[in-house]
Amino acid sequence: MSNDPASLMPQVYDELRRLAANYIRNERPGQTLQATALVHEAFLRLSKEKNQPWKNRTHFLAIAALSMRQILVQRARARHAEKRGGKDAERITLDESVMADHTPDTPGGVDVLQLDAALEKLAALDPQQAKIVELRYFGGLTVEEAAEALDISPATVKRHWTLARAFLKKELSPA
Amino acid sequence: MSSADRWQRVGALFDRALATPPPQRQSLVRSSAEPSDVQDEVLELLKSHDDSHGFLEPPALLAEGAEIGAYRIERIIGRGGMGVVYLAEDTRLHRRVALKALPPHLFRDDRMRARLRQEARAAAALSHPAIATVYALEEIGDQIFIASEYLEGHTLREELRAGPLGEARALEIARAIAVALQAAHDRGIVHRDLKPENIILTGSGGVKILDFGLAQFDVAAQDLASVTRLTDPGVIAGTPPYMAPEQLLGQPTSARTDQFAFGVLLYEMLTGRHPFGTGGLPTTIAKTLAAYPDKPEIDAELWSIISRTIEKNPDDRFPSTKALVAALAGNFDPVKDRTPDKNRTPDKNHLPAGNANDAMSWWMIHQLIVALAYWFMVWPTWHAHTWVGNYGVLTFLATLAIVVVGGNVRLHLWFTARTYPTELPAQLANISRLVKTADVAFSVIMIGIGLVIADTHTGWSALFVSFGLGAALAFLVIEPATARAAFRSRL
Repeated sequence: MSNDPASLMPQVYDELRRLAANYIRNERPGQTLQATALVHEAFLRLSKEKNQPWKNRTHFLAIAALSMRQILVQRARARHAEKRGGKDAERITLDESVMADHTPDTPGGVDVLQLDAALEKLAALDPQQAKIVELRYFGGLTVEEAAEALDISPATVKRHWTLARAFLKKELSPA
Repeated sequence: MSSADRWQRVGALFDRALATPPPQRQSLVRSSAEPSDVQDEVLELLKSHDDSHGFLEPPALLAEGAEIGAYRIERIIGRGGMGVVYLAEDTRLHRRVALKALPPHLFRDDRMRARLRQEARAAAALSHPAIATVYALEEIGDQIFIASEYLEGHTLREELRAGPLGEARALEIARAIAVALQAAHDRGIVHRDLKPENIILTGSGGVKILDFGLAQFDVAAQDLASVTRLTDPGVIAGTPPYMAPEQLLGQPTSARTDQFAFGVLLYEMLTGRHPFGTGGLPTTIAKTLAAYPDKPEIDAELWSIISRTIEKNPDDRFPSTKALVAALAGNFDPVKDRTPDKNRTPDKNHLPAGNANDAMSWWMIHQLIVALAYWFMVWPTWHAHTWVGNYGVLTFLATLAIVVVGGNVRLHLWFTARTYPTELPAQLANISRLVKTADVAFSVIMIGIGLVIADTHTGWSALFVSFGLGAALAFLVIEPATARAAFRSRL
C-alpha cells in the first residue's frame, strides 16, 4: 500500500464531505461546525473500517487536513459562483473560516479562496511551510502533531509556522 | 538566485530578527549583508508578524501569570481534545487549584459548555476520598471552567509504562477504584470514560478518579433531575480501547459499562498489556465486540472476576458494583495456579480455541444452508400459487421478497464472516433484526400455504409445512445456539 496521501484521500474525503453535509442538514441553533471536530469524528468512524491505509492518527489527520482544505475551497467556489449568478447566497452553516472565526483579530473569518491562493504562492517558495499551515489551519493539528506528521522537530514547525503566518497575513492584508 | 533560495534567506534573516528584542530588529535587518530587497521584505514580514497575533489560530491559551476572575494561572498541566487543564492559584483562598477549561476553539460550542457544566455537577454530587473534589464552576466572560482539587501525583498510565504493577499494588488500586465507582453508581452516576489517564495516584498513596466529562446520570436519581443527557442515543462517546461493547455500538450504557472499563484496567495493571490490544484500533474494537482474551498468568479467582467484568453482555457482568467490590475483597494467592488451567472444567463462557473455530464454521454453514433453503422454496411457491386462491400471486411475491432479503442478507453475513471477520460484529448488529423478521415471515407463509393446500395437494402441503417448521426451528433454536458458540470465540 502506498503511503502517498493522495491515494488514501478518496475515502477520507468522502467521509468528511458526507459528515459536513450531514451537519448542515441537521443544523441546530448554537452549533458551529468546526473542522477539527469533523476531522475527529471522521477518524472515529473510519478507524472502525478494515484495512485502513493510514499508519496512525497523525497520518490520518494529515490526509484529513488536505481533504478539508479541498472541501472548504470547493464550497467557497460554489458559493461565489452562486453569488455571481444573482441568487441569494445560501446560508452557510459550515463554519468555513474554521478556527479563524473564533479569533478577535479576524471577526469575519478568513476568505478561504484568498487563503488557498496565498498558500499556493507560499508552496512555490517553501512547500513544507505551506504544508504546516494546511495541517494547523485545516486539520487543527497542534505544533507537536504537525511535527510528528512531517517528521521534523516541533521547534522547526514553530519557526516555519511563524514565518508562514507573517507571509500569509501580508498576502491577505488589503494593500 | 531562485525565488525559493531567496525565500530561504528571507526566512533566515526573519528568524534572526525575531530572536532579538523588538527595538533592535530594524537595525539588525538593515545592517545585515543581505540585498536591500530581502531586507525590505523581512521588515514587511516583521510588521505583519506583529499584526498576526491570533491569525489563523485559536486565541492563545491563558498564559502563565494571566489572571482570570480570582485565579492566577501558573501553567498548563494537561491538554486534550476536549479540555485544557491549568494549575492556578485561587487568590482569595490562597490555595492551588486545577482549572479545567474548554480549548479555545470550543468556547462557543454550547454543547461542550453544557458538557463541562454537567461534568462539574456530576463530580460535585459526589463526595468521596477517591474522587477529585470540585470547588466551583466558573463562567467568566467567554470562558467556562471547573475549579477542582489540585492533585500532586502521576497518572496510572505513567505507572503502566514501566510494565505490570504486581498483584498487590494492582489490587490495592483496583479496590480503591471499585469503591469510588460504587459511590458514584449509588448516586446514579456512570463515569463512562474510565481509563489509566483518568486515574491519579497521589504522592500520599491515594487513588483518585478524574474526569466525569462523559458522565451519565440516571435521571431518576435524587436531586439530579435538572441534568440532561448530552449524548444522543446512538452517539458514540468515550475512549475506544476502554469502551464496553454496548458503548461502541451506541446502545444504552449503565453502571455495568464502567465495570467493563474497570476489568480492562485491572487486566492491564496485572499483565502490562491490554486484553484486546494488539493490532491497532480497528482490531481492538473488533475484539472488544467479539473476542475473549486468554487467561493470563494470574490468580484463577482474580481471573474469574476480570472475565466476568469484561463480558460482552452487560447482564453477564456483576449484577452491581457492590458485588464487584465484595468479590475483590477476597484474598488472592499470588503463587497458586500460575499455569494456564488445563485441568479445570471448561467454563461455559470460554470455549477452548479448537471448538471456537469449529463453532464459527458451523455458524457459517448454518447461514449458507438457510440461504439456500430460502431460494429452494421459490419454485414450489410459484408452482403452488394457483392453488392458494385469490391471493396466490401476492403470496408468491411476498415470499420472493422475503427470500431475496433474508437469503441475500445471510449470504452477505456468510461472505463477511469468510472474508472480513473483523467486520462481522458491526454487520450483525445492523442486520440481525432484519434477518429475524425475514425468518418469522418466511415460516408463517410456508406453514400458511401448507395448511391452505393441505386438502387438495397433500404431498406439496407436507413440503411447505416441513420447510416452514424447519425454518422456525432454525431461528428459534439452532441459530441462537450456533451464534452463541461462534461469538464466544476469538476472531
